[in-house]
Amino acid sequence: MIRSLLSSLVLILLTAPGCSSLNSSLGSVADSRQCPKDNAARVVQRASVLGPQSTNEELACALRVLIASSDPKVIKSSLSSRLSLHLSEREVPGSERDRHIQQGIQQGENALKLGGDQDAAVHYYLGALMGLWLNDHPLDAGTMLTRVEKELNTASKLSESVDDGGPLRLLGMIYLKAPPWPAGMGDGDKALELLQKAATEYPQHPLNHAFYAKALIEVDDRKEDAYRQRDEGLKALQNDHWGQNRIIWQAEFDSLQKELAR
Amino acid sequence: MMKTNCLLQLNGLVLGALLSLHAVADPEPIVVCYPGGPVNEADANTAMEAMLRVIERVGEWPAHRFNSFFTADPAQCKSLMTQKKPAFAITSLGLFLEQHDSLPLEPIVQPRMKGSTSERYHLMIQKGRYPSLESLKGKSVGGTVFEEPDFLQRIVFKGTLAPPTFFHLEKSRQAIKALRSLDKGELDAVLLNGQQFDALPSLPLKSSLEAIYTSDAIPLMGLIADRNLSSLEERTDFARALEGMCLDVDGKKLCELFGIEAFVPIDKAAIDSAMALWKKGH
Repeated sequence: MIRSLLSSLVLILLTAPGCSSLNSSLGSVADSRQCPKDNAARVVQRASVLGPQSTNEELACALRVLIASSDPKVIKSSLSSRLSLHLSEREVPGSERDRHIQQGIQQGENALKLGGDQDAAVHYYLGALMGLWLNDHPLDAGTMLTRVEKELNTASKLSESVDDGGPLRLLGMIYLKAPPWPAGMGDGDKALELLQKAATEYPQHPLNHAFYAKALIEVDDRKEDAYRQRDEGLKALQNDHWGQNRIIWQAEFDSLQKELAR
Repeated sequence: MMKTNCLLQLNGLVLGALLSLHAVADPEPIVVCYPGGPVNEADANTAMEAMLRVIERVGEWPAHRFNSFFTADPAQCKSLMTQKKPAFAITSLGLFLEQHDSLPLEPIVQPRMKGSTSERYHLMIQKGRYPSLESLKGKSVGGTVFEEPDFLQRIVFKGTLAPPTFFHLEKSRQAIKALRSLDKGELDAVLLNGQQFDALPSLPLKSSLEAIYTSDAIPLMGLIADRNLSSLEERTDFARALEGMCLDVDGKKLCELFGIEAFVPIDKAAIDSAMALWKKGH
């Protein structure tokens, strides 16, 4: 029992969904009275500055405007999913985080329906949000994990470079952490291959190194190489433009340090 | 006023005392041992906690009645059993057999998977490459199941050989990796458990494989209890909770994740056979 129990249940993923009741009402983002006057076109124009260095209010207000828009160009973009992901990652697991995740997934699904299916970022952020949901609700893995894999695979085929190798990074972690064959899709070889590629071709993202280091330890017990990756990752983490993500991602390096110390 | 305050304080103290009688006691430990498991402790404990909450609900216990302690290391498992003194544990058959002499352990329920409460181990080779088990002496054998050498020797190979000395064992954390190596000819054989063997057809391998050795049926392990630390009522309650788990809405999801059809009362005859084989030794 232990084999099937643990190999099936242990999942640490980076995003999640699959919920049946998604709520994208305007009331579920920031109160409009707290938001400056804005419109979807202006939000889209400043998309590149909306991210880790934005405050929660900036993200929530921008998201509110995007959700209210009926412009198909806005709906089919990945921007609202990305902002939902940022907001979700800043929350601790609980109802508020669930709400952000569900909202982001709904936006991602809407984007796909309106022709965003050739946009790697739409698939990537949708997969990322779904994975975050599974992180918090592991019992949903049975129905969700295949969908997460599918979205990230599609994103990877369309463009690996989204979010600095994001599809490689997240897919690699799925294969590292998912129940290993035969219980699930977990595959150490695939994980190593994808995460090595992410760390090598997109070295600027700290988590590419952190996750590759974890794979090196967990698949091949290569601690020396893992230490090197950790150091590369910590160097990349010092970059100023990670904003609030630096605090969130430091936790990954802390957990990596524990694995290295074992 | 003072008299009223004193009365209030006294009532508060009494109320506090009463409440403390009904306060939730420290959670009871459940030790979970998964020798050679490809999971780390933090991940496994998170997963176990999710499962325990479901079991508690199905068994109508308060949440956090139980707390899990996981290890993939057999030596650490024995330490945990000694330190934590769990009334209930989930261990491998090998660890149960090893500790059975020193602790009054009793299997309570076991999982049924694909219609069976037992499995067989299979030693796989590239078809036709070796004529017999004996011809694999000194050859490289991969797999994920080498953490318990005594179990392999006494139960899987029925005392006919000692795998660590008979073969050149190459442990792998994932069976798929070992099978890919076998497929490429980098390994001479791979030892698979029942679940891995059953899933072989799903793997895109270039070579045909065959089993050069298949073990007898070995019982699947589920929950064990320490007879001295648990009452008959508690063992019955836990068994009932697990037996009902796959019928519960959330429990069903867990069971489906694990590939478990149901938890059923232990097949005592199968356990007794395993114990007899274990005692027979080398």
